[in-house]
Amino acid sequence: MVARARRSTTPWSDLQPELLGLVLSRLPSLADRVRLRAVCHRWCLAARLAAPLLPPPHPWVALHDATFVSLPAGETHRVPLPDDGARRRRCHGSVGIWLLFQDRTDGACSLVDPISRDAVRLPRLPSFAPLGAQIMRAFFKLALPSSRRVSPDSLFAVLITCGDKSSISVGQASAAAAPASFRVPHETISDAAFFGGNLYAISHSNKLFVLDIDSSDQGEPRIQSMRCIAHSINDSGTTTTTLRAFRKGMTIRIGDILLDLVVGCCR
Amino acid sequence: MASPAMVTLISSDDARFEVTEAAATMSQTIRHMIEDGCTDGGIPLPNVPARTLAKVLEYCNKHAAATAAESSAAGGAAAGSDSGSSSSADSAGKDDGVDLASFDKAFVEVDTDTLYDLLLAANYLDVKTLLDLCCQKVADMIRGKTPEQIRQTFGIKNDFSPEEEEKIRKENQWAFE
Repeated sequence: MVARARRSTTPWSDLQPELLGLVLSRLPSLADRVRLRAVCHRWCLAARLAAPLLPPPHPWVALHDATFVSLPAGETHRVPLPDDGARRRRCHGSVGIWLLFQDRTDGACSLVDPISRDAVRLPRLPSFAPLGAQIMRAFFKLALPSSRRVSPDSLFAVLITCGDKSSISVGQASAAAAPASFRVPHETISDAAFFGGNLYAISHSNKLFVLDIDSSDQGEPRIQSMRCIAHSINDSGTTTTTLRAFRKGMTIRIGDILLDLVVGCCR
Repeated sequence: MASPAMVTLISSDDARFEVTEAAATMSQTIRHMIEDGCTDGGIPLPNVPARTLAKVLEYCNKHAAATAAESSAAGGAAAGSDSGSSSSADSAGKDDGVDLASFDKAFVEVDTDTLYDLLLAANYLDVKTLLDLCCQKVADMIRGKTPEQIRQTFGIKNDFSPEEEEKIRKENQWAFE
C-alpha cells in the first residue's frame, strides 16, 4: 500500500532508453522486440534507437508457404510477401535476412527481406537457362559478403549444382548484364560462402576451394580460376555430418558451418 | 583475523548504512569514490532512497560474502595436498552457486515499483550483476506478451491514437496474430 501511494503514476514508460536497450538485448525473439515497440510512444522511440545496437534476433526457418518458425521457441509467423507475381516465383532459400526468389517464366532473380519488404533485383543468371526442366531438382545457394546489407554495387555469388555439374556466378546486384558463370571442372560443389572478402567452395569429395575473382578492370567481376586449399576435410566431425545432411537435401545453416570451417583452415 | 574495513553510505533521505568495503565496492560508482578519497563523513548517494539502498545492500552483502567464501575455499584447496580436500572445496563452491542462483531468483520477485527502483539504482551505482539481474527479470516479464498485457503488467498508459496503433500493427501484422 505504501509503495502504491508513493507515486501517482508508474514511471515505466519513462524508463531511460539505454536501460530499455539492455532489456531488449535480453529479448532474442524478433516478435517480442516488435511487440515492445507497440506499448507506448517512448518505448517505441527507445526501441528504434536501440535496434542497431542489438544482437541479431534468433533465426527463423522459412517454409514454402510464407510461414516462418522462430527458433528455438517455435513460435510460428505468417508473413505475406509483396505479391507482384508471387505465383510465378520460386524461393531458392535464404542468406541472412534475404530470401532469394526466381521468376519461373523469365528466370529473373530478386532478393526480398520479408520483414522490411525491401527488394533488390539481381541481374538474370545465365545458368538457369540450360537447366530447363531440371531446374526443380537443382540445388541453389546464394552467397553475399554481408548477410545484412545489400547495396547496388554489392557482390553476390550463386552456386547451382544439378546432378554432378556445378556452376558459380558472381556479379554486382545493380549490373544490367547477366554475370558470367564459371563451370566448375571435375568437381561437384556442395556449398559456397564469402569469408573475409574471398569466396570459398566445398565439394562433395570434401575439398575446400578458394575462387579467384577478377574485379580489377572496368568490366564486370568474374571468376578466373579456383584453387584447392584443403584436400580432405573429412576429419572434422561437423563437416562430415553437414555433408551427409546436405546429401539428404537438408541445407539449413550450412553457410555458417562452412564459415566455421574456413576460419579453421585459415587459422 | 582483522575486522573488515567498513564504509558509511548515506541515502538521499539521510539514512546511514554501515557496510563492509567488499560489499560497497561491488558498486563501481562507490569504488571510484573510495579510490578518490571521498569517504570522510560517509559517502552520499543522492539518487538512492533508503528503502532501495537497503535492498541493494542486501544483494551486495550476499554476493560479497559468497565471493569471499569462494576465494577462501579455493585458497584452502590450493593449500591442501591430497585430492580429497580439493573435491570437497569444489562441491562447496557448487552449493554456493545454487544458493546464489536461488537467492537472485527470489530477490527480484518484487512488485514492479520496487523492480523499477532497483533497476535505476543498479544502473546509477553501477553494480553490473544486479543490473543484469533486473534487466533479465524485466525481459522475462515481457516475453511472449501482447502490447496490452505488457501495459497492464507495468501500469503503462496507451498513448497511441487508434490510427497510430492500427499503423503499427499493419507494419508488422505477423507479430500480433
